[in-house]
Amino acid sequence: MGSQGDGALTDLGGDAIVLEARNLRKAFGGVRAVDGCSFAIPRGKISGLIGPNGSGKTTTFNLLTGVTTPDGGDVIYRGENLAGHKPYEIFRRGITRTFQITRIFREMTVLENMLSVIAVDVPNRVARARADELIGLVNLTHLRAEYGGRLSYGQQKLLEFARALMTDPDLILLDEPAAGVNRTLLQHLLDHIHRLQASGKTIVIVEHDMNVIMNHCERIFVMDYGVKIAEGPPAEIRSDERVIEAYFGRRRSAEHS
Amino acid sequence: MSTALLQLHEVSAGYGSIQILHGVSLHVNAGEVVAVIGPNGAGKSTTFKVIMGFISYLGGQIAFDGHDLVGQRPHRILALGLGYVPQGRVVFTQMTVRENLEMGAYLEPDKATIRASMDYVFSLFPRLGERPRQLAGTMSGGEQQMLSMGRALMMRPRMMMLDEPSLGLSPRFVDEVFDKVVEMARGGLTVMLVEQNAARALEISDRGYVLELGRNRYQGSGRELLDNPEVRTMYLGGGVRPHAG
Repeated sequence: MGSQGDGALTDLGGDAIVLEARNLRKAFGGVRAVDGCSFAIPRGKISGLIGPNGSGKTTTFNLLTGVTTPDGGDVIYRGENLAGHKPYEIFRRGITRTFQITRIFREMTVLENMLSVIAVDVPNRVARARADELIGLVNLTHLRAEYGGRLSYGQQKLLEFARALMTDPDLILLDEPAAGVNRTLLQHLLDHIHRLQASGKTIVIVEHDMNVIMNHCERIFVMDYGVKIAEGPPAEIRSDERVIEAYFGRRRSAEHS
Repeated sequence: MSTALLQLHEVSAGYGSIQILHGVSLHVNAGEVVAVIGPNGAGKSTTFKVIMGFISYLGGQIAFDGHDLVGQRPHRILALGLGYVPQGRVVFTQMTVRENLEMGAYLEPDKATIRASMDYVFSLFPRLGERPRQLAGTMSGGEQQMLSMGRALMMRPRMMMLDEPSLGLSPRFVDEVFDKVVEMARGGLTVMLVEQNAARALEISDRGYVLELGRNRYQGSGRELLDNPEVRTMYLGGGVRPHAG
């Protein structure tokens, strides 16, 4: 592993970084899912985290949010190392996420799902007003009394997205927001992501839909075999031979030459 | 076209209300190695699952060796000579190597035939033959992939479908898995494989199909597809809006 991307960190400057991961590692049995991965997430931007299947994207999200405890490495956020913290501790510091497979409460209504993440010290009236506003933003108002389990998959994703915003987080990690969402809803979701960015939030998207990544992210991090292999703006990433090889594979003859 | 061993004509399929395949057509001739590649969500694995009768079929025709596969149960399709190795090295972890292989022959009543098949599998995968009593769960990822392939061979299929055989394997085992595919093909087996590692798959394939969002996008010889720059960059969304962003 080299020092690739270290240059990228410095030209962003310390203030412009909301979260920095240093040498993150996580192995499952013999599989080194994340194998010394370092990157710095630019503040107030929409970034993309991409890579072929099994490259370690979701594990990285899990390490950043405490869902999985890292074997090593640091997660620096507001001057504090969050590596090894519990998910709720990280959540309370202003980092939220959605999941690839939605994790909503199926036996709760849309509104109850929204309220489920609110801390006890938030007045009910305030929480409800906020929930209603967010439900409206993702076009689920007509379903606010419906059980989560009865929503379509796309609607469940929107609900999870809205719920992630209930606590007014600073950093929002979205794991495959576009998967299974129809085009109309997707456009709506993307519009909302841009509005969040405009209001100063930082968003990181793991996504297989390259049109979402290339057209909506300012900066892209590319992972392969658990490490970051490239970082840059979409146009650069798209023509980066290392990235193309990570996706398309490499000929054996090329590997051994 | 009726000489093809496997033929799909405008096949549509999906999961519940989500349609994944929108009229995919392809064929595999006897003795060929054919790769199916494409970015995530292209419908590669779904194509295999609909052929094997695992998921809901919405339209089109699927024929194998003159038999209509539509509406057939998976075990019937297996009995017709179409083997399938699922993605992710699905082995019975609490069973030994030998027991896993025996499970692969569960439709075969004749003990001598089973024994002969097992000898054949052991000759192709000597590492399995060296440790028939090892529990599958204690094997490495690459060995489990070999076991999964060996188990599918126990029915002595005419054609084998491999779903992402190199996924999650270390580079050494990736080489070995592709070598084994070539070896099986040389032995007369017809092979269709879905691969994330498109370059490697095309390198060993006579022909390939590139799917995108559940539709046919490109087809050609392995060589043609390997050298097509559009195929290389489509994984990064380049085909749709080359200079966006």
